[in-house]
Amino acid sequence: MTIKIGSDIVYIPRFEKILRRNKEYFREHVFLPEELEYAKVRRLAGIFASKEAAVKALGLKANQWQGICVAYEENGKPYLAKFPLPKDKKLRRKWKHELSISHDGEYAIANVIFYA
Amino acid sequence: MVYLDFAQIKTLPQLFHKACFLYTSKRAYTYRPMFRRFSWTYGEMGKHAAAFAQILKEEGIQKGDRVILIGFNSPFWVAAFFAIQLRGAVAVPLSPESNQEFIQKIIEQTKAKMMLKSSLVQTERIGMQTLAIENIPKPQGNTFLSLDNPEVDQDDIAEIVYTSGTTGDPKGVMLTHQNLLSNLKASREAISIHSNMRLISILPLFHMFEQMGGMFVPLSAGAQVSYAASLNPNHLKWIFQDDRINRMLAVPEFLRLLFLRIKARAKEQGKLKELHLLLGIARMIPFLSVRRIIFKHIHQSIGWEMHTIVCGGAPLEKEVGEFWEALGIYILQGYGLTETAPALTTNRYHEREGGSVGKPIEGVSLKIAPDGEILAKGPNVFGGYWDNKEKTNEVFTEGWLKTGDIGFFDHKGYLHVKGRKKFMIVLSSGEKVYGEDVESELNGEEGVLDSAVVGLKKAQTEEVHAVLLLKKDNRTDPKEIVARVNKRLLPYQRIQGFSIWPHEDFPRTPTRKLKKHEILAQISWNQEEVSLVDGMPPHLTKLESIIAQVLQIPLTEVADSKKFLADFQMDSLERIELVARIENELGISVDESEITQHTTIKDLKALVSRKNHKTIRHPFNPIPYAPSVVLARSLLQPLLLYPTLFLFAPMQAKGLERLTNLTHPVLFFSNHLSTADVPVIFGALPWKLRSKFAVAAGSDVLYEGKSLQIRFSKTLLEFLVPIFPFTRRIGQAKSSLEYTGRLIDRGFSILLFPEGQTSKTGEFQPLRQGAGILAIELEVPIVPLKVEGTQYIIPPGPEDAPPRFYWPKRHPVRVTFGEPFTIERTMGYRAATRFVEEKMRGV
Repeated sequence: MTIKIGSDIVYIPRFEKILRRNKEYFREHVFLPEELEYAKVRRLAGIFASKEAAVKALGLKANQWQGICVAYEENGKPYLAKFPLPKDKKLRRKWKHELSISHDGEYAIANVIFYA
Repeated sequence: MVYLDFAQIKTLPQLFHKACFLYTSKRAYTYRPMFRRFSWTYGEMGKHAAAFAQILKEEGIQKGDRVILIGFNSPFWVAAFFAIQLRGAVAVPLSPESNQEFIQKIIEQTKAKMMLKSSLVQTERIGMQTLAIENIPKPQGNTFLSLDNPEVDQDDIAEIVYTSGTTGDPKGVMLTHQNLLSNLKASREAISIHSNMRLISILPLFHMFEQMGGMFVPLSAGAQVSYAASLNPNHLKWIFQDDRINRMLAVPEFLRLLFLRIKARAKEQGKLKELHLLLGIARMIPFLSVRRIIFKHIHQSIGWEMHTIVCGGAPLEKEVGEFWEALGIYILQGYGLTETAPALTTNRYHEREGGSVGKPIEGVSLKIAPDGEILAKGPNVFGGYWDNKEKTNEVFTEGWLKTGDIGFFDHKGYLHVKGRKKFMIVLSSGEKVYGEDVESELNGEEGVLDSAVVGLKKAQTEEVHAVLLLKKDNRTDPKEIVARVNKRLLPYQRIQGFSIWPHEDFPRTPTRKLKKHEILAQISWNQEEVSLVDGMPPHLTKLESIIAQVLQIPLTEVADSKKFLADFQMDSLERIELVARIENELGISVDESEITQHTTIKDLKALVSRKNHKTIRHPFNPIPYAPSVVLARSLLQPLLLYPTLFLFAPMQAKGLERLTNLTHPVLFFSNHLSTADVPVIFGALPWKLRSKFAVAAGSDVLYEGKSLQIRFSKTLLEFLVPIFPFTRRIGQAKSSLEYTGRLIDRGFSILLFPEGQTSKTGEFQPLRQGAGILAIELEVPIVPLKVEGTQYIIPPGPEDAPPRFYWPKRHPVRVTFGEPFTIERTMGYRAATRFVEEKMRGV
């Protein structure tokens, strides 16, 4: 059994400041259009934390923000709609993940686990 | 040609009603917020403004109430402005970049009752009633003549314009209807204008120069205005080409930067000599149209029609003006102030003098005070500052307005402006130096991007001090530059000291004028700091200040050997900010993954200094969509298409009756089985829809190959089908969506394969996210369709490989058209993609 875990915490006011100053860059390089539909700063902070958590868990390069897509199920549970799959074909088929995002006050935190 | 009768127009509401009535069906405004062009006629504008005024009325706005208006240039801004006027209220236009504190201050000062704000402007909550100018419901019926609005008198205040100005505290300039209309009338007569003027509006509308030239003047002539949603060069090019822009208002800074860029480009290609030669030849040719042919490459990118640029807001250097005239574009420089609503003088087509600001417009009298200051009088001169008697008394002397500018009339009667009185440098010898004179010499130097010459106080007297903003690639020693310039200056004008400006640009006002007092303040304070960074190329200096700001450390700690992770604990957010700011402020794109744990500041400097290639963009190619080519295609296509289909693909088309009511443009979404899909779908379509049709082709397959075979097949297919490039890369879809939008604006229907690639199994694959964006943003009916059987004619090739030639096999095919549908904007991109997918599966 392979397990990979990643977590990240975002301080929302700082995230907001950087986001507002570099909107263009975030739109073109970090978030996907479908994620921007939820364009509320708190939500985006959560999505960003999830991406960072996934980057940490999978050991990705820093230019792959848009290779990861965070989406929400009907009941509000978040999941990764898209992320780079492992090269190993056997692992690839069984590869599963769980994602959890939480906000409180000025912080957003995300945990992600990949397992097979 | 119908003109407005100005004798009867006394107020802005009257002007607006008359213009909207007279030019009802003329196209007034175009705007491209996303990928499509939206245009409003004058009638529609009238209805919108009336509906807007109705809402203001319901909100309790009465005659004389102040209403704040904040937004970027757009037709909505115009509608909101005139709605305020229709209600007899006073508009207070503010910059969309104003900060919270400033807005709050203005609200308190003017006791504003309401704020109209573009939803694109981010402000925190302000304790007052706010309406988004974009959210005005579409008006029903012919209501633009609703006249239950209060009567307005010509001496009522129409708007209060805040001047950030080049000096100090903001002051609210009160302009009456008469001020504005008298200036409008005189400006119209000075620059002959007519209804086939097509203007691009890029300067901010809250500023009087653009408001007069880019809103009132076109309105009064029934001309067309295109509002730029962004200043991105590609966006502007799109507007220039598609709207065939022939007029524009610009500030000297803009013309100068373009001039420098054209020169730099020529130098890069080793054609500088050629350019100078051509400019010399062009100057000898009296016909501007011939000059345009000489510089066709430049005119091509601005749409061939550019005729006149009206320039104002700051002094234009003679050299720059002459350059543009040599290109075959009239430059009409004018002069004015916010306080004079705004024009005072302007050059005319038949009365032009390079370097001057022209002759006074009708009704305006000017005289020069003994100390050289320009004084003005006329119906357009304002009555006073809002709630500021003291300042008002300061600017008037015996009924004349003190402009604060120094100038003189030459023997032909043209006014020349030397500079601001405030920034005149008085030397110990009593001689006066105008910074502008020295600046124009400095700016002519290679390597200097811009300069500011200020009087630096040194023990009782002032010295002529130059602040240089050097180009990124400057290699010349600034000392040499100053020495060279000094040789050309008069003895007392000579530069006694200089410093290099450490930041990316000088502080500027909204019309790009230098804020000299800020520059002076910073230079006087930071003299040591400025001299410290003398030797380094400016872009690296800038990089250091960006690093310091992002990591929030003092500039002195930014040392070459330090590592981003080990020494500064940089996290991913900071990395994003760093990369984003390097891209924004230095114009260099760095891949985030290039900054790793081991990257030192020195490495980053090396990265930034290296030339980077940008994302691939396919320029719009209008040739395949020209009417003559479309005609040739519609004759040739059947000759090739039907015999081929008869031979290889006996066809059965279903659902054609669903297409009978459709007109161009339509978006067809099809599943993708093989290369044979396109001719088969073409064969199934009725002629009416096929005549104007384009097909999205993966840009990586046909547009990025260099081999002769690929280039040939690309050109052939562009002519026969026609195909256009559509990227399949994630994060680059914007340019492709714009391309699609431009085709749809031209009335072309589009065939797209939203799965992104051919299906290997014949099964339907999940759609790309772009499908939802297209479905919503293009705002055209969508027809889902299904192709069956083509995979047996030409089997799908391996993924991402260029098309290979197969000998086709004969196989019956079937094309089924689904029910056309449209998608509401409120649905959202992701849901729209799902919706489209369901519809396509349902066929």
